[in-house]
Amino acid sequence: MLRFIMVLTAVCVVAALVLGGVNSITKPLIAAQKEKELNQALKDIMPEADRYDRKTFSGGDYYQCYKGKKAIGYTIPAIGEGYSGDIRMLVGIDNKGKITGIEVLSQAETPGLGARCIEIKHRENKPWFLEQFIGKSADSLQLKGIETITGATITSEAIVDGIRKYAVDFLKEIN
Amino acid sequence: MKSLFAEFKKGIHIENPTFALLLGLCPTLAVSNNIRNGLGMGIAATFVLLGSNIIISSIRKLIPTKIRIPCYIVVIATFVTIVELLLKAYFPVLDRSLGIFVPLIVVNCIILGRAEAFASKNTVTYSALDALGMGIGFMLALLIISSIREFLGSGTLLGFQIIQGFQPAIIMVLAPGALMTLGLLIGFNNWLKRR
Repeated sequence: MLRFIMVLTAVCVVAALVLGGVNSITKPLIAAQKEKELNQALKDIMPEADRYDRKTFSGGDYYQCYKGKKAIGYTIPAIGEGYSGDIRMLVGIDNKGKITGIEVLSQAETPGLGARCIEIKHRENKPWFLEQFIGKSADSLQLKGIETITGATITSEAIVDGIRKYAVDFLKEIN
Repeated sequence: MKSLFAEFKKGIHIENPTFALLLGLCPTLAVSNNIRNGLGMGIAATFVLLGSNIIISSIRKLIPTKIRIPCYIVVIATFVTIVELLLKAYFPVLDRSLGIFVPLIVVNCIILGRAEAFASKNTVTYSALDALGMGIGFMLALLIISSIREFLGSGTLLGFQIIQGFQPAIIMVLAPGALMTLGLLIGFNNWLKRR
């Protein structure tokens, strides 16, 4: 009996040591990857800005974007309830409340259907579905007039509803 | 004693984990919707399998039979966590598209199956070869299934469009497509073996 305990303890201690070691190597790398992804996402959805100030509102962190000294807009988080789990997005809106860009940070939609919300067409460099929203008012966003994703109504609606909900809350709070 | 090469070879065809042993079908069905995912999963599982088979076969005489399963699980879970951390640090895109299926390698029955059926009874060399054979067999199976599904379901191979104007059948990237592809391939493999 005592031998069982000793063996299991030994196995676990070794495993913990190994994992601690690997974690200490990968932790800064993972943090750097996250940081890089975030910076890239901010640049993609608010390309004109050159400075992003992190602030907080009830829906999470947002970034106030500046071009030189002029505040030109915000990037806010938005979460849509997709077909399989949350669709986490980052949405850029200018001072007039118009969308400047949308970046999907994470989604688990069905490949070939809902996952096409981030599909990039041949010879293009931005997802065609999300590009359609640029220039529209974030707080009154609707699917009307938008080319939806075939067979993925829930995903299309989740994105629109998520953005609208977060935009309404955010604009109400900062004004 | 069987030759080293035979130990390696068996996992690829005769005892292929997917087509012959029918092990680890859950991740097989779930991540084989495109080639990149299939290949990523195959490599990750092979790494875990190789690591756990080597460690388990080298400590097999120290581990009492009664507590062997918890010991194996700890070893396997350790390797899976290493893979997960490495993927997050170096291949974040792949990590995101494989999602939950990376941590779920822990419960992939190929790995525990090989630990129990092979590594706990054989030397390190044989266990490593067994792991490599089984891992490559699993990877090849995933590669075949995911190529078929990606081509028929999305009209692409590795993300590149092959035939202009080809209308993909969405069902192939969904669960029914996975089951049909797997079933037909198992049938084909059985027919090959019987001839």
